[in-house]
Amino acid sequence: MNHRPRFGINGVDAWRQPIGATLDPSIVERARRGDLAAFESIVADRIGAVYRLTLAVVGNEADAADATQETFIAAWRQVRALRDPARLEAWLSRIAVNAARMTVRGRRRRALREINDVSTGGELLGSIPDASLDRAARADHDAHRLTAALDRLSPDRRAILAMRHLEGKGIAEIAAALGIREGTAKSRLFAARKALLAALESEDRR
Amino acid sequence: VSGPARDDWDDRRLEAAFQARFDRPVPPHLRERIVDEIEASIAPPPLLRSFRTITRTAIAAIAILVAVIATMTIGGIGPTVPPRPSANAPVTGLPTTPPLIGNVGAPFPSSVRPSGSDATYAVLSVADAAAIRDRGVDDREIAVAGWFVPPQPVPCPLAPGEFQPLEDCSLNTSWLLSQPGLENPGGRFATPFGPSLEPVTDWRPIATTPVETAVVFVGHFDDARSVQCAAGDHRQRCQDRFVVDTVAWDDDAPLSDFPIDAAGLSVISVGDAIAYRESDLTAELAVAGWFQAPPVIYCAFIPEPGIPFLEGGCTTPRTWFMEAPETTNGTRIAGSDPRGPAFNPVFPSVSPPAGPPESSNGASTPTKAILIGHFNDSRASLCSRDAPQTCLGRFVVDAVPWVEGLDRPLPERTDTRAAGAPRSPLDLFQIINRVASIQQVLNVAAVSPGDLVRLWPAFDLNAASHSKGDSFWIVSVISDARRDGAVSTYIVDSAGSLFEVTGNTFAVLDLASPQPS
Repeated sequence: MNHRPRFGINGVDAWRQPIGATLDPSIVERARRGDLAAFESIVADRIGAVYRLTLAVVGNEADAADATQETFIAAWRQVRALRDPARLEAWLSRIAVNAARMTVRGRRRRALREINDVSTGGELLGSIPDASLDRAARADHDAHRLTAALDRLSPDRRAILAMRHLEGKGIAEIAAALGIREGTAKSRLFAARKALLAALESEDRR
Repeated sequence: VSGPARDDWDDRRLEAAFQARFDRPVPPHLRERIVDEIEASIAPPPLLRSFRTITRTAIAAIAILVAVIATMTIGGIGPTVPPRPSANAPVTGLPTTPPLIGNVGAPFPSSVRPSGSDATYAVLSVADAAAIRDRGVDDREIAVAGWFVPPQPVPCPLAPGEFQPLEDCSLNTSWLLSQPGLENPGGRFATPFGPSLEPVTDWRPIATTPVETAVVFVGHFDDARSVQCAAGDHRQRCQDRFVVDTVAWDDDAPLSDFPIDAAGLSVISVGDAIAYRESDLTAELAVAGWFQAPPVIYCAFIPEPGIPFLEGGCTTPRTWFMEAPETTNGTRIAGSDPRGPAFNPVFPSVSPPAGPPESSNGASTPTKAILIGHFNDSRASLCSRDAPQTCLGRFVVDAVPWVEGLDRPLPERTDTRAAGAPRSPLDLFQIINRVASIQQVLNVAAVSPGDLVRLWPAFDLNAASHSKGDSFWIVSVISDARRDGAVSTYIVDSAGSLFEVTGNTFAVLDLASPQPS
């Protein structure tokens, strides 16, 4: 698997570990046999990645925490069905995306309007010319615009974009995580990216 | 893709923004909360544990008793017996019920013929199938398209009075939804939002997550065995179940008999390719489908259009590339169009797959093929008045790498000039490799100046920077030069000057120096 270098929040290059990237297969095997301590190791190792992925789909911290919890509870219930430890990454991503989607629907049903913690101040930053921003400030500025643009997209599109641009997954990995063919993943990613760019453009015009 | 925001937001910037927004620390105590929750789910209190042991013993005894009674009273039909198909005939010929008319859209086919069956079924929507269910007893065999949520592996309490094949509790977690994403967040047993069916399959619960799959099921309501369910609500629910006899189509069906990739591109379906067209994307695509050559007809003379191959003659609208092997009927200028996803390909630089022309008597036979090409060709803007939209929708074929199970060698070479080409393809590739890393050459065409301007009308033969050679090579390649995945096209003149085609402009990359050996 190829890992891609990224920029951290402070502009420092950092390597992001995807979900399930380096876990010892024997730990997964022990978890499959019902070893709770082994499963706790998986939780400890992967909770950060799962949380980030679900946060990108649901858009706020409280729901992301709920979706992360649902992900690992569902994973514990189903871990016996995971026959190939090497598929942990795709398997866990798939459960996380489903949990996040269900959380979004639940939130919609409750008709609660959440106030996103980073959405405040976006208008102010929106007026700052890009050229005047240094790298970190520009990333923060972009993050505000990205947040607003993602709000316009469906959870499925947010999920595929997050897998690509947050987790750095390739087409094959995205296809495996979503249980679809690579060609389908590619076309969905193209469509999601186009929708995101259109939403960003639309945000810029506001 | 154009516009100020689109140009600015490259991969690197998007990734930085995603990191800045979502690279957040995990909330305090979330990990402990999760572990506590899991531990609570597997560790019942000691008192309850001993109670469970007693209960399990009692349940086992009851189970044996019930199994014996069931064997004696209902002829031994147990939970491992799969549902039987309805004995009834397909949709036609039932005078007391209204006819069934297929009404589903993409991505589903409008009709299906299950393998091993002679019957063709119109494909109904979930809502229409639900209406059939709710009208009363009607056990016709029907085809229904929807999004299938498979049964989940849930522990079912022993319920002695239930007829397992139709009442197993895991069936209550399985749905056929009218649209994806309608599951009820209230839990896996909760009824989804919108129209839905409760399918009964003889497959064991295997899904680890409730992932929806686009399917067409052939099956029936009012299964004859419903009489074995307890009278009242139980029986009604058994009758309302949609007993699936076969899966006539699923999400991967259009691609199941094709290679996974071609010329380094993932092979996609016609329906997925159309999604690219609708998104204004110009990416080079490898598309699997069924090619139908147009009928043999002569088009009336019309003044030459702006871009002849894109605007096409009278046969272009009757040249099809279809997702399913449909039989179309062609006449002189009209005919029946495919019912499923399809588009009109054009072949400016390569030969189309060999196949019989469309006939007007219902005997057309399409040819199975993979086409590599693109929608939204930049030359569409040069099409005649009213034609650009039509031109954008044409699929411009750059290669035909696979036909009826056989690979066709790439690149495909054509030479439309009277004289032979003095330059070898290897020379051309060496010239192009100076400016781009070629991954796959799709086609090489040697053309006269007249042919060149017919294909690329914006190429000004008389411009100062352009060569005035008497022959040109047009080379289409997949390379690392295009971030948008589009094909790269290069023109090489007889002096070795290299021009890169970008939209409808031609950048001079290398003016005949140094010459390749």
